[in-house]
Amino acid sequence: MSVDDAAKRISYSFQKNLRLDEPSRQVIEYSITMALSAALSAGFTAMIGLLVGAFWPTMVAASSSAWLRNFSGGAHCSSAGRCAIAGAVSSPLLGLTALHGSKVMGNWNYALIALGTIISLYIMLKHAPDEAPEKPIPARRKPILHKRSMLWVMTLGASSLLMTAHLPWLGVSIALGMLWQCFTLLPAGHGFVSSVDNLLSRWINI
Amino acid sequence: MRRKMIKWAFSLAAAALALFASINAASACFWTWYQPELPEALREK
Repeated sequence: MSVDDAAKRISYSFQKNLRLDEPSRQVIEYSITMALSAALSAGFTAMIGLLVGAFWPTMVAASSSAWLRNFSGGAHCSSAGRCAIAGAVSSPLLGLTALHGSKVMGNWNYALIALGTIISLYIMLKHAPDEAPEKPIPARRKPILHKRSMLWVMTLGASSLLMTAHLPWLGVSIALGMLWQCFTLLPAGHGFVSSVDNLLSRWINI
Repeated sequence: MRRKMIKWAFSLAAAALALFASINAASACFWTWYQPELPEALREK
């Protein structure tokens, strides 16, 4: 049973018990779908992060990317299960890269984070907010989300630079999460996510 | 009494879920890589 089917079934029990009309049931179904897909995604990501021995870098990179995503939008998978698998592979990879890369790069971490922040700002300037067909953004909200995306990149970049002085892996994890999120806004990012989604759809149907 | 309690629990959960959905409707997309279809009731005209 897919996450969407589970959410639909639960929402019908709400409708039955509270005698909700159809639009209200759809709102409940939407909310349950989001909650279940977030729990599935976070659970898988945490599990793989633990297995590869990079739990905290994985969770920091995933959170940095997820917060930015609220404002900037980005490419999507076509099901909650495939999204969870894609996230459970990409975030631990970012975490592992941050954990080991930050040791190797030494003082170069600062220069790379600054460069990454500038690239991210440019991508946000050009592409944020990236609208999903499933969720059209009203015209009056677009400038607000654009501004917030830029502000959030600046905040992440600054905190990443500050953290690198004490805990290099933490700073690099934040920066990699931010860069990864910016990549999903680009046409190349959309192409990449859609090919991963197509590939996973052969095996995963949840 | 038990039926009343169940109804209360459903009502509270529904209110929390509706609040969660309306907060999310104001963002560009959801935290994960999956974006379910936004219901008509939450779409701004």
